[in-house]
Amino acid sequence: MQLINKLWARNEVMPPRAELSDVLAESLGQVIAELDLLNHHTEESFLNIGVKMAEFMQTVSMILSELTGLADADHGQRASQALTCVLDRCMEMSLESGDGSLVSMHHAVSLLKRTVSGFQETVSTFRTLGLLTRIETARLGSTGADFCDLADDVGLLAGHIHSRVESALEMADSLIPPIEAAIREISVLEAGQTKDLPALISRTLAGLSLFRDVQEKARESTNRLGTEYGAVSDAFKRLIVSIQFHDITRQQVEHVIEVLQRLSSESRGVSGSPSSHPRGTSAVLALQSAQLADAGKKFTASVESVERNLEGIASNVLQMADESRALSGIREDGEGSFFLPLEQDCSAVLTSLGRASKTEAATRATRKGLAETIGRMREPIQEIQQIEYRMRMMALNARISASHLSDAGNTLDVIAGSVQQLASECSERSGSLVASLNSMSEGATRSRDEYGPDPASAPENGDAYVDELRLAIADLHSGAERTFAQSFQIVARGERLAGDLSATRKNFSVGTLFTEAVARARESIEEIGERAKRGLSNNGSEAPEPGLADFMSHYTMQAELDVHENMTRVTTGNAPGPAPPEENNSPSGETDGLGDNVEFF
Amino acid sequence: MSIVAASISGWTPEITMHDSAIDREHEEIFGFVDRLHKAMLSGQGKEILGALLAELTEFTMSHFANEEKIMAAMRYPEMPAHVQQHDRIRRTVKEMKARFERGEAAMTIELILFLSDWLKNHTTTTDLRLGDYIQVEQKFTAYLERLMSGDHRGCRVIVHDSGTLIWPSMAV
Repeated sequence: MQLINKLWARNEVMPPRAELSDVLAESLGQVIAELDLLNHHTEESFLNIGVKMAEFMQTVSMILSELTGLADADHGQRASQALTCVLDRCMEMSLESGDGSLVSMHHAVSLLKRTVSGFQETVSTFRTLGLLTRIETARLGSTGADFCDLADDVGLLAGHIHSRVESALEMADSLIPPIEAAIREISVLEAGQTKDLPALISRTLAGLSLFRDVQEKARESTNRLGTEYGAVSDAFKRLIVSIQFHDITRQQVEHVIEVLQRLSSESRGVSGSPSSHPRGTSAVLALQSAQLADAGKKFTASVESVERNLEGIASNVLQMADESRALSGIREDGEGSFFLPLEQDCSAVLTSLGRASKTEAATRATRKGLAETIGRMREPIQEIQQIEYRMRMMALNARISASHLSDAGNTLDVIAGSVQQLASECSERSGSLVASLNSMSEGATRSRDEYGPDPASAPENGDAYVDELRLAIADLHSGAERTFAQSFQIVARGERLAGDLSATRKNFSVGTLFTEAVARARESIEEIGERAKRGLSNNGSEAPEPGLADFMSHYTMQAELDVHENMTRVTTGNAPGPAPPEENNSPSGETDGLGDNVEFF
Repeated sequence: MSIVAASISGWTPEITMHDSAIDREHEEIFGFVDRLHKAMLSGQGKEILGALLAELTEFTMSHFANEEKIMAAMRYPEMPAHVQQHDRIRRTVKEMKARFERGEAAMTIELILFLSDWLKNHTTTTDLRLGDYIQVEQKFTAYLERLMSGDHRGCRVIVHDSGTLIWPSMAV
């Protein structure tokens, strides 16, 4: 501004035509308005981009923190232990021949049923023997009167035995269906536990191993990604600093506006009368045009640099998002992840455990029912044994009585001997029944004993075991879903950041706008200058400034400072005319001494 | 933008269907993803799975019915293909709900990937074509209203992207 003052102060005041001044002022007003609008627009654009940069940096910081969280996670430790333990148990189970106790119980019940059925034949024989006793007693008449009681007792006891045998048979029949159902359920359970479940668990363990690899890889990559995202953060900071070049060009434009306003004001001040018009108007306008040209050049170069940086950062961020995606097992199309089969395996193990739990509960209920039924079966068998004893005693007495009758009692002796023989056989049969019952009882209680001394606590203990495994698998799944969700978020943030950066880069049109607006303003300024020169030339008063063309082509704010200093020297008699400034072609405008210029204005 | 970023970016006006009710329903799908994702981040996905699947099943039936009603009313030419996609999604949702009810509780990752796929390959693609058609329909209605009121300025033929001639007869 000082330079302009000096120029005007130095120039003679010439009388321009009034209409020329008006046109000049109006044209200048339009240029001023456009430049003002340009400054306003660029200021707004840079504020917006500054806000965007701050948001981007915040996103980068969140990604860094999430990456750390992902690497620190140690999911699946508990599941790993539980799965290994269950796998061992399944292997042991597959080595055993399944639950043999129920199968042998099934055989025992069948045998028991056959044995009990054998009693029916015995009962029939007893009845026949009773009848024979009665016939022989009748034949003997009064001699065989003592044997009448024997016939009655054998018949009665045979009836008792029959009734007990019926009851035992009924109970034996009721034992078989639940045993068969339990055996079927256990077969399924065994197939699952010895074949399907180990396969599932092995697959889950393999998935778990992959999961651990991912965690390990995440740990290894966190440092690298952390450094890369840190570099992105630094790049943003540099970008924020670099966009401050806008302040410099804004001040350049403001300076031009100020000069033009002054010129406009001077022109209006002289209009309407053959008054003054600054003789150096065209020179001043030429300088402002050069000033704008310089600002435009710097602005364009810097905007290009910002765009290149944005593009570079966007590309880096996209690469990092890809790396995060690969880390997390998310496929490029996003439609699958290695977490998916892991989840499916977890789900299958949980389902299998649920089924096993149900079958085990059903088996336990069956065993409990069997034990009770077996307990009830002992009663009729014991009664049969008592009857057998009484029969044996009766047969013994009958034989003694028959011996007293000598030859007449031979037939009765044979009958009593048969009763005695049959009672003995019956006793053996009931003895074997008791042994079968004992064996069945042992089989029924064996699995309950496995759960502990208190049979009532067996179901809870069994459930607790399955529950522990279920919790471990659920824990593994929670870990997997947490890791998946975290990586999902990291990938999403990265991709969104890259997308936003590209969009910001595409929408960063301020460079073109600035160039166009500056070109328009310069055209107008030069036209006004030309018109002013023509007006004054008509009066023969405006001669070209010596060296002005060269001065304009090299004009910068620094150049204006030089001119100002030169002028000062002229007034003090040191040196003549403005010295051409040094060329300044730095593209960024960041390190070419513009800071001094800013201070100057 | 990949399927992942698309699903948690939330609803944006760029995917408007030009029907506020349908837009609100589309926002709800993003809401389902958001709820599930937040729960999964804290390892609690399974806890909300039952309720989410129940809501999702009900929502899917009602939302698709609404879209299909609009398509039928407009005699939308791409309706058969669009409904096929609806059927596939409806079937998957029902199957997932049934599996959950049978005791499968670990399917949160599958569900979020399914919802993301739904958003990426249906809501933000197939539905947008319907949205364009709705917009044309709205313009056409406004145009008709203008013509009915006697204003014939700018009278012209409207042709949809699919090549269907909408004016002068919607049925052509």
